[in-house]
Amino acid sequence: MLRTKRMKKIIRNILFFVILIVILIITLFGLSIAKNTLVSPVGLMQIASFDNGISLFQNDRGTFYAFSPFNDYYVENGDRTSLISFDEIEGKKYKNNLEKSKFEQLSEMFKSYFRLDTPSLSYFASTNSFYDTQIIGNKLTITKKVSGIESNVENIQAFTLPFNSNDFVFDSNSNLYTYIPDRQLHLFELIYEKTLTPQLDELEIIVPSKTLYIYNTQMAGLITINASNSQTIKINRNAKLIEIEENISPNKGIYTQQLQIAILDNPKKI
Amino acid sequence: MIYTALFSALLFYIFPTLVGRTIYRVGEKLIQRKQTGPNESKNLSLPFISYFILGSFTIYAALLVSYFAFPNADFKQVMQFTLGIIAFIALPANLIFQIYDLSLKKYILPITISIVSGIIAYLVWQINSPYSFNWDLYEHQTLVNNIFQGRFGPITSQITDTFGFNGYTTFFHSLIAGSQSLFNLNPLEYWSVISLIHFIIVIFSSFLLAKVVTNSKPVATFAAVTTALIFDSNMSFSTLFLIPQTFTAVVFILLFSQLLTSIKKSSITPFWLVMVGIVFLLLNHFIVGLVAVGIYLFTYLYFRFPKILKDKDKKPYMFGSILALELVAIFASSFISLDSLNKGEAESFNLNLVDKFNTMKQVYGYLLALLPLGIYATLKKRDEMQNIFLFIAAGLLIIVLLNLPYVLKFFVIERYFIQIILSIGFFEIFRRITFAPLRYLGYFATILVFFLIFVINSSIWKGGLLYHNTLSHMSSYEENAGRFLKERYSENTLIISDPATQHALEPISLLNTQGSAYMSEDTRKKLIAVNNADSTEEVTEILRTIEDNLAQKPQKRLFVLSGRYFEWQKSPEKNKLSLAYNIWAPSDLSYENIHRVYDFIGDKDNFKVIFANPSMYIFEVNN
Repeated sequence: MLRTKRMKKIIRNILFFVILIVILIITLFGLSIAKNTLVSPVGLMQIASFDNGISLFQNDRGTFYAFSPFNDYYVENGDRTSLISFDEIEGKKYKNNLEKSKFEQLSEMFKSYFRLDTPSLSYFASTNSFYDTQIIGNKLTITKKVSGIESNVENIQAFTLPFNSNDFVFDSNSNLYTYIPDRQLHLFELIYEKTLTPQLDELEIIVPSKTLYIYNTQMAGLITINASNSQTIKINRNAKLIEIEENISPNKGIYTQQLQIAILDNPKKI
Repeated sequence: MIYTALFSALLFYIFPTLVGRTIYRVGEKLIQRKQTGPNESKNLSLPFISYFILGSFTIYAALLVSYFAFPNADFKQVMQFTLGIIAFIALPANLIFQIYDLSLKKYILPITISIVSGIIAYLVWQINSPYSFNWDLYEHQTLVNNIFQGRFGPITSQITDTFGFNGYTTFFHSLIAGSQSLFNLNPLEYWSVISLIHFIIVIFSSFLLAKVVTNSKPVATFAAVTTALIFDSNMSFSTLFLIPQTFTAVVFILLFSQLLTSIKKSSITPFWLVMVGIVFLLLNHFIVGLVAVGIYLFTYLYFRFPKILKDKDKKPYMFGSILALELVAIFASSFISLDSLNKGEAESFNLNLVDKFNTMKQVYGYLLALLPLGIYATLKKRDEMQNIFLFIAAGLLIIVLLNLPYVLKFFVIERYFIQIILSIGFFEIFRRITFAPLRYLGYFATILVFFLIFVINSSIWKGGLLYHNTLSHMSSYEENAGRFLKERYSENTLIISDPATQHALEPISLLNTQGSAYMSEDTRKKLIAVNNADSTEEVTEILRTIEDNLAQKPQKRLFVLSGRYFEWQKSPEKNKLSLAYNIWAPSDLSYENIHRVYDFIGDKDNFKVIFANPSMYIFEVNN
């Protein structure tokens, strides 16, 4: 009798505790979640994951600089292959991990609020690619891991970054790689006390410096690519791409490449 | 500097309370009052709120009198002198009355809970943010600065054209001015500190109201802690922002708690104190004050004259009819054309039922589903005070749901009621979990979910405010520019820029703008014309026509080309003409912006650069 009474009490306790927890869980479903749950500041810009890549942008100014497998590539035996091929893009034969459950979104938003996490993004196609970020102040490190390349031998891996035709793209030797009208060039010199020399003879140029700057005329802030000694920066004016190539050996089938970026306030800060 | 801000912010509350205490106690001793009503209180319940109100009136009246008595003197000095005399009389008198006879012991628990939960929640709220998020602080500080400059009176719109609508008197601002007048402080620090103190007082008053209504310390504690974590992030903003409506609401909750406590003690707050409280509420916010006064007066009369409702059988019908009438009003308001009311700025704040449901969902998640349980638990007790409490909560909620502009503002009061009913609902579950460790786990899980809601809600509210690794409405570049202007320019100088830049610069520079963020439509159209002008000469001509309605013919005009200005100019015309639209986050200049700035630099006849930083160029316009 006593035992039954005690049992009833225990069951009652557990029942109401479970009811409470269920109510609390349901409560969370009522919360609206922002579209981009994980947005991290990098100096004057922000970075977040989107369908078309992991992108640098600035509030509502509408321009995005995306790192993505749609442009990133590898070179083997002289053949250049995009991480996601044109056919896969056309046929939408790829997936990413942007679709998240409510609780994953809540967790991301919570971590983003306290800056406990930074954006990352995975793509799954014939090759799989994973982009991760680390941020300290205005410095950003992007790590890319690529798997599924059948040959599994050392090859050239490349990060790419698209630029706009009216961006100032120049290196630390003041070589300018985009066409800018003289008046604007003169004004740039006046404002930032820097004289840039256009280098527009070739469509594909190997940058002689390890540092490249991208200055969007509609945004505040300067994207600075700091290539390592093993990396080579190329300007592909035809495709409007900056390509950062590097020889990489796979480790258990995974090719890992890193890129250092800094966001400076303006060209005067160079 | 932060200590000065802290001390000044504390003075906002403490100084009027001490002054009021002196007046009340002196009056009590000197005037041998006879009791005029049944059981009129000699030992006032929650006396500090009445002291605060009495003291505030004294200070406000003294400032008004001294303003008219010394019209040509430096008003800041007059103010310091007046407050000095009041302090000289009131503070020693308080020592005589022994400050510790307030019997603080019973307040130790709620004060501790309020301070601890308030500080934790406020730190989470302000994380990565160097300035207060209270956008309205800039306009209130502008009014305070105007008072310091000798423009004083009861009507806000006659002091500065930043206030186009007189929603309240300058009562609130004169108290702020009083507490700021003693020190040369950084107003932005002051507002950060006073926002925290306000937040703590909101939590404290939630505890007091819950305690008097439910007579349960655990429910009151729960209500207090969860009050800290529920941020009504649309229009009412009860907790984290000190503005006239939130100030009025929290004073009302304390007055209401005082009234209910005295009723429980079978004594009634003296009528003259009730009247003083009513006038105070109305002067601090006409609309929110009116609703507060309605509730306060209804409760006072109901318990003061119980015979009016002697027939118990009729009570449910009467209360039911009032609520039914309000419900009919909700449906009627959806069908009746209220276009004349819902025009202009009101249009932006006219939320329908679905919008309001979504707002509530954002603030509470689905927690409000527990309200029926709280209502059921309250009704079950058949306690008259709790029933009246429920009736008021239901009546006010229905008003909040009406299809009228601004009614969501009344949630600034309603949220205290909702919080308590919700807490009662939660305790219906908690009290059935008798195994202590499991119950504590339940408390912990609940607080954790409230905390998560708070973080998500705050995160969404702050979306789009990222600037230089911080989240803010304001930047250090803007603050520095404001300080530069303050040092270099006299009062009769007009700053012209987009609404948000004006809003940020005006209170720091102490210079005038046309309407700040509430710029008139005429000025907005002129700024749009500036953007479309073919030459800088044409811009100069347009800028020369911009004037403040209250301070015409400025000696100098300053044209500020900021990152915000250019973003505002890029916006659709409909947005630029809207009072509800602003560039909320600071913004640095892009190359394209600077390109445009150089057109003005080139016109040396009309524009002279006086200041530049990565966020803005400031030009003196040839007048």
